[in-house]
Amino acid sequence: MLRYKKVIYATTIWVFVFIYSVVYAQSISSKELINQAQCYDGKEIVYKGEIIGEMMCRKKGCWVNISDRDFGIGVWIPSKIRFNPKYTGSYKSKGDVVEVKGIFNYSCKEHFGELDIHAQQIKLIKEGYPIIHRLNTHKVTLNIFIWSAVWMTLKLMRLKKR
Amino acid sequence: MLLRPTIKDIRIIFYYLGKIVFGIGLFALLAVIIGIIFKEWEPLNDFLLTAGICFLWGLISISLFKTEEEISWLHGMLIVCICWLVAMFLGAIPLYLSGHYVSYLDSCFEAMSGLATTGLTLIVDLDHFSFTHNFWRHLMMFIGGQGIVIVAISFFTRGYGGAFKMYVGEAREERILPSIVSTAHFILLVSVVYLILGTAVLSAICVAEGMRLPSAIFNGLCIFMAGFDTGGFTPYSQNIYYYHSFIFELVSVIIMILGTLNFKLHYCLWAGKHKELLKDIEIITFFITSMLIFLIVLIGLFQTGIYNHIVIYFRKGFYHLISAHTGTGFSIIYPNQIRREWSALAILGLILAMSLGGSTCSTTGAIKALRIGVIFKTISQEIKKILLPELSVVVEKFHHTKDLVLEDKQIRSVFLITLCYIFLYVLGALVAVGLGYPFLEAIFESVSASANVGLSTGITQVSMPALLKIIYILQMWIGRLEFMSIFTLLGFLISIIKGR
Repeated sequence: MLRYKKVIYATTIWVFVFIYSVVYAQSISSKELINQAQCYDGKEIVYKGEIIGEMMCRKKGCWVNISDRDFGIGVWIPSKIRFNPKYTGSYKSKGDVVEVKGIFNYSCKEHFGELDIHAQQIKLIKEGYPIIHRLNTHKVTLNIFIWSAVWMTLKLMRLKKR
Repeated sequence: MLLRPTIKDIRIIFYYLGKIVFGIGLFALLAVIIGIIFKEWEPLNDFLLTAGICFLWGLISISLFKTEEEISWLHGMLIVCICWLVAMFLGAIPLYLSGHYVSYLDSCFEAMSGLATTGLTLIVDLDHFSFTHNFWRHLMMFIGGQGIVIVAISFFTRGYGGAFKMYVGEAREERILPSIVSTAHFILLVSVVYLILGTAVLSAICVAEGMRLPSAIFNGLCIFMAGFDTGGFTPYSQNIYYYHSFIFELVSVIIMILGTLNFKLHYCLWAGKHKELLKDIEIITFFITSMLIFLIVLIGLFQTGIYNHIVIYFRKGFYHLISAHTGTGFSIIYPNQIRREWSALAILGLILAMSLGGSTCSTTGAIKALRIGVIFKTISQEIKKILLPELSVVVEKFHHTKDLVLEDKQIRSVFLITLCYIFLYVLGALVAVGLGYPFLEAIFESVSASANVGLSTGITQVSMPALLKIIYILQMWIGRLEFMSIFTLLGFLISIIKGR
């Protein structure tokens, strides 16, 4: 009876740990991935970050660069995974934050030695948004002042010539 | 006896400085056009402000110090030396206003890195930088690569005698055409033709690799300017790795090699003298040193056993070797990876490649292939002198666009400049080691800054000490101008204090 109880306890704990690791898989930072690249080579990892630049689609899939602010890492999304980000990070927008589950390659055989992640799953965590840059009125005032001074200097130079 | 500078000297210096500053203002207006194209109004504001400041300064300087006096060697050297510092301070204004730099010192670092075609960067969050500011970073490389004075000579002069003195001050001694103004025009013409062709090819690759057309053209333009001018800035933080394209890398290698060729050789190629490529001492030296150092880098990489295929060793090793040897600084791996994964031998190979550099009268920095060739010719001459009978006369010849005889004066100048470079490399490394950085990384970064390369092991970052930032700025400036004009400035400053 005691032995059965021990087995039930152990199984319950294992199931909890398994479910936790699947549902709440800890994402690895880009710094960790790059610094310990050889340790993670060929392993399944979870990586989270903002999509930067633009999605570059080729014959068999698309490249996206995902940055967690330390470094950007190239993620290869095969054609079978349907993914279309609404916003990508640039001057005018904050890109979608996504979580990628996939295989990390230190020196990818398919992509001629690139350090990359081959996505198996990609999940939107937080949608990006447009960034509105308001015109700085102090700079505008300063501009008017300086360009007026340029115009006056030109006038004075012409007068001096005459 | 030192002579204290007179009012006349000051007039001449400020008059020509005013003209160059006015020219910088015109370039800021180019960035304004990019701002209008991409509808980036706030960055446009920054560049209007910068252009306004440049025009105001330029006009006041030109009208107050107007002179018809001829420029002497002293004036030429001083104008060049000071104008590079002034360009740095002015070029840093829009960068600082962008809000992507922690301090004005950081934006000055970036501006000098751009102008000196180095490529080390202190920007924060490059991936959210505006197109307009990013264009300015790359344009600074183009202006600096051609030579600020060359650009000024092309636009503002009709052939005054002092032009040559400023041209030499900017570390260029060779006249491609009889007149220095036509030489400056030729250099600009070559650069603009290559700019159009290179941008078209790179943009086409970007489109084929999945980028949108406007973005492809922008990236093609920026990468060409940084590659041909052996600069090394890129529009994204991942450098060339961002594009995930082998063809793009291949074309960038060709652009880097074109950028490292002597403009005189470009002229020969344009004139149909293709055999020059096989005879010129610079090309031969560059080829031999490239192959020897590539062997060193390869052995160093094989020692680590980090890559899973021999082709990858060649791809990563060769790309970084060319990037280092041409003084560009493009990279397809992260700076941390060089430090953590590459063996000491591979890193030493890169340091050696960076310290040698490309051709004279090109956009590269460092000791340069011609000087390395002359050093080897001198050694060969000395060995022949020992081996041959005492009374025999040994004449060493070499080909550099024409047949030349090795002369003592040239040997002295080559050894002096080489010694100055070695001193500059060691100086930066000493400061970094003093601040607590490991020796190998310190010497790598110091050579990268002095030789205007831009590869990094990770020392160059926002958090590095301000003293080191200043030292690297000075190294980039001195390394780009090749010492003589800097020595002249030092002499000038001493003459202000001690002169009579």
